[in-house]
Amino acid sequence: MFFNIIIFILIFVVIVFIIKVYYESEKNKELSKKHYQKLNIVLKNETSKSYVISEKIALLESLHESLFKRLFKITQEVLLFQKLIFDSRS
Amino acid sequence: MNKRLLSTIFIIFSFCCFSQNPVKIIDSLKQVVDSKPKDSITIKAYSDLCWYHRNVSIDSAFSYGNLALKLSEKTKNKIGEAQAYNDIGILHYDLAEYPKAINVYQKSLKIRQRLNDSLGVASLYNKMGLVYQNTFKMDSAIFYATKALHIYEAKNNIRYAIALRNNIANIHKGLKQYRKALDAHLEIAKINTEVKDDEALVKSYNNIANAYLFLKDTINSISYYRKGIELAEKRSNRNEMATLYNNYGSLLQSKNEIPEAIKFLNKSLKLRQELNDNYGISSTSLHLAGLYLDFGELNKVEKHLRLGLKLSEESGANELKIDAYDKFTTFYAIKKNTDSVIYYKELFKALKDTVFSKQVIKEVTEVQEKYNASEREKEILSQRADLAEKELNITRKNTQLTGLGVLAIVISILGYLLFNQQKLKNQQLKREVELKEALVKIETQNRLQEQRLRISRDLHDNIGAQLTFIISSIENLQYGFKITNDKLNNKLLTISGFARDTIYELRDTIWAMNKSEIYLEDLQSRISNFIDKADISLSLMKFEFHIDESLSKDLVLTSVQGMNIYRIIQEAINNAIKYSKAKTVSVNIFKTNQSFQIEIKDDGNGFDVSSQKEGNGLNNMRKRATEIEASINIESKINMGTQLTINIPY
Repeated sequence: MFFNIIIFILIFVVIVFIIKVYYESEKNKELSKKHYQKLNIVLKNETSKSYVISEKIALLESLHESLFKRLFKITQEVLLFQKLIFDSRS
Repeated sequence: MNKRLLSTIFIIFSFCCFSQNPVKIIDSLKQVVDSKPKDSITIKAYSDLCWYHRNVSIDSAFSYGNLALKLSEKTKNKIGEAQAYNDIGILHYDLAEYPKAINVYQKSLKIRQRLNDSLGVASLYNKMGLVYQNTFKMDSAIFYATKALHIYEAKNNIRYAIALRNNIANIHKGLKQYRKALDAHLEIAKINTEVKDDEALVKSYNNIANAYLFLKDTINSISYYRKGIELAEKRSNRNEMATLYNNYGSLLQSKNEIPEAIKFLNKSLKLRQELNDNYGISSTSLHLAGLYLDFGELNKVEKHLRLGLKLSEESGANELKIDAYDKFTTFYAIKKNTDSVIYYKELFKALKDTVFSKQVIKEVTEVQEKYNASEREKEILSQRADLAEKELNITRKNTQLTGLGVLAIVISILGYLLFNQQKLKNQQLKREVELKEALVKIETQNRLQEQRLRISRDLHDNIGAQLTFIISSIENLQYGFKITNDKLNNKLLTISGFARDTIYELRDTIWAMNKSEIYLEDLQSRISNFIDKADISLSLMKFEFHIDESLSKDLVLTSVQGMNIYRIIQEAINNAIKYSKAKTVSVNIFKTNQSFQIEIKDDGNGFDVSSQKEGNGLNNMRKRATEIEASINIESKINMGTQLTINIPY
């Protein structure tokens, strides 16, 4: 009888523990879901920021290419101008 | 041939044997055995010899029974073997060797059960019931009698079924359960009425009346005696009439209705005399003598006493003899005949002592049996208690085992849940780490790119300042040194123009870079500025700019999209200014299904699209359109103007 009582108490305790663990798991799932959502939002923001920056970098590269060409042209014109000056003096 | 003849004789003999004298039957059977017939016939003959020797010599009966058994076993005749065991069992029963009888009956029972001989099985159950009845194991007796009854009823063997019901009723009577005995007899009477067996019904009425008498219900008892008498008289069943008159007379005597009692007892005496039933005559005569003695009719007393004593001595009925001696003592005492009184008193005492001692022994045996039965019952009860305790222990252990099983299952579930929880935590941690790593990576990348943009901005500022310085220096050169050489002046103007265009491009790009996203409204104002400037600087050319009102002002473009659209429009207008000689250049922006279109149209001299080789300007426009996934279309005809359409999805 005593043994039976102990067994039943143990079963009861373990069942209570099971319920506790189950609820904790569920709560943990909820919390982590919220946490992931926050992290995902941050990540999304960073990704869109990264996209904008990459766009700007693309513009920048295009500008640099164009600038290089123009400066090359200006240098070429300056050299031609110098040549014309030397030609007129000599 | 000889054997066949003997067999035929044997079968005929079997039919006739019930009507013959046992000694004669035994002789005939012995002759059959001597003629050495078939084994099965010999077995049957031995079996019958055993049966008929039962009342002659019990040892011979055993001997023939064993011979039948041995021969059956030898020839593997199972029917004969079962019958032999059955006969031997009956002999043991006769000798009151009840355990042996039960043992032998059980052997026979096993064989008959295997042979599916249900009637044989029922007969054995009945005999076993009788054994248990004699050993006062009444519950077992009722159990076996009931089993036999069920078989007979199933086989519709009413006669045997009624006999068994009578047996069961007698067991109840022996247990002093008169109510149950009465119920059984009433049931039997009902069956007898249904099957219209009046002979049996008369006996049933007698039994019912006796049972009511035991229950002290004289009204019902009288009623059934009368019913019995009426039916017996109707059927002229003199045996039953005599019994019923006697019983009814006794009942009337107990009710002190003496004349009526004498009348019925005289009727009974007369019938018994006619039937030569000596025992009955003796009993009724002594009964009547007693009644006359009480009534004081001494002349009638002696006649009946002498008749009763004589017949009781002849039939060896000691209880009747004792009764006769006792009544003679009283009779001579009344007559004051001292010698006779002493004589009959001594006879009475001597016989009574003998009978009494026998009765005492019988009663002691019965008491012993009852005691044994009671001991057995106690033992059974104790065994039942032990069994119940063991069952309780088993139940307890089962409960414990079940409990342990449930506990194990519950612990397993808990373990599984904990494992799952841990696994989930690990997964969550891993996912979190992955997300954080991705975040850190992208953040680092963004920081690096932002730094790059910052450096670029510084560089652009510096370049812008340097270009402004170049323009300013060129202007100073032109006005300060008063250069008259046209070539030199043109060159300076070209360099200055290049520097100015570069600054514009730089400014446009910085404008686009400073915005993370460009609204259509921003683009509209920038295009509008550009067109206004062109309109002011070129008086012969008219510029128009129109934007569809249905296009949302909040339409958002990326910096690359905005910049490329602006550059394409700029290039197209520049081309129109340079080559078209048009009077009007119009720019229209409007909405289509899933896109918006920009249309740049002039009414200039146009060109042949098929023959004209595309220059750098047009190539650049196509390249920029491809970068923003837009399509570009040029339509032109000589002297019909040119139309450039850009389709931009959003």
